Amino acid sequence: MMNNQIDKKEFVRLIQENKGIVFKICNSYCQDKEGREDLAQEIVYQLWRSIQTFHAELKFSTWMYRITLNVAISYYRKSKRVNTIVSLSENLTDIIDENEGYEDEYEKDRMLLQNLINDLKELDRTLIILFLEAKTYKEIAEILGMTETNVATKIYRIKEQLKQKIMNFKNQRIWKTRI
Amino acid sequence: MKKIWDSPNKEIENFLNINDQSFELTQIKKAKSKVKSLIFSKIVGITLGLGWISFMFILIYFTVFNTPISFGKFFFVGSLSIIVLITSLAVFLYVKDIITIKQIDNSESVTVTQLKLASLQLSIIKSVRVSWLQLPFYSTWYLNYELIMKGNIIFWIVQIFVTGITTWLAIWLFRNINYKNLNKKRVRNLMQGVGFYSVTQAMDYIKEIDNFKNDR
Repeated sequence: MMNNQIDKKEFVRLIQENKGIVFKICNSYCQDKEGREDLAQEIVYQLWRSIQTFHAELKFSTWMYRITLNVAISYYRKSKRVNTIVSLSENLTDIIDENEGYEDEYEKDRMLLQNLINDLKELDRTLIILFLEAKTYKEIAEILGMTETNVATKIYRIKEQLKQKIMNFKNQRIWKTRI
Repeated sequence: MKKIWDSPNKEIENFLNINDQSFELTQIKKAKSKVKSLIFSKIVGITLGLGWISFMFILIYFTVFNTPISFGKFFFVGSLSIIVLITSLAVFLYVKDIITIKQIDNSESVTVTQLKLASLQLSIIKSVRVSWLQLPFYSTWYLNYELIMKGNIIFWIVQIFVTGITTWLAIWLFRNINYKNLNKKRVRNLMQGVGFYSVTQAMDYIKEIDNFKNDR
């Protein structure tokens, strides 16, 4: 049992090391700060609970991504039943331009990208997150339980979809500055 | 896109700052909430079912051992026994669901786990369709020799109408409330109308997972 091999201290260290990805996944499946923290706690709890099922033949990152994504999607679906999730992409120009707290262009771009990702279907989001996390098609296929060919086709389509939305967004901004 | 995704983010530094102590608290809090959210509704179903079965058992026991043999006793004990049998089956299906919930493994691939979770939501449909089968027996338990032999025409019209309509309804619901028919508008509306919106949502999600997995 893995629980005996990884003690609490070691587990907390692993979480601290990987909190970037937990944050990005929480951000992609939960829009409010309070909910994100709750989701993060749920993920940590489930990771600790599931560590006994960890198989040595699986990469630690594959195992972690599977749990984190499964918990995040379930959390999202549960909150979707309670609240109506509002699509942000339609008013994105206003939202981003009205927020003046950004220190640099990167932050604006990051918000744009994050909102476009949040607007995808919950399963499509998993693909683009894993792609952006530089996972190989093989690992993505393993995490999601689909074929590599299917992963490649879908990622290509989602990227095209996102590119189109980014173009539309940039055009909207040009129009706004002209007006 | 990758460059933007990987760009430094101050929010991450302040996010999820756990130490050994706060980790302990998270564990306790989440252990409680998990039991509440996932299994609670099933436990309520089982408790109500078992309560109903016990009540029926008491009635059957007293009738069998404390009343003389009669024609009416046959209808009473027979109807209640069938109700007990069908309710037991529905309770058994709920127990099976709890076992499945306990076996859900989040470390399986995303499509497999999500499919299992959606199927679990959908499984309520099995208990519901089985439960409907007991409906006609609520219109037969009170029948006795007096009513059958001396009942007037109005009694017979009402009795045949009620038993007939409940039998037809029970069979119709049993045959129509199933996974395949959830695509039909009539069944979807019926399920949503009686508050099983989550069931139709789960069905849609299963289709979505299937399309996602098989690139349709």
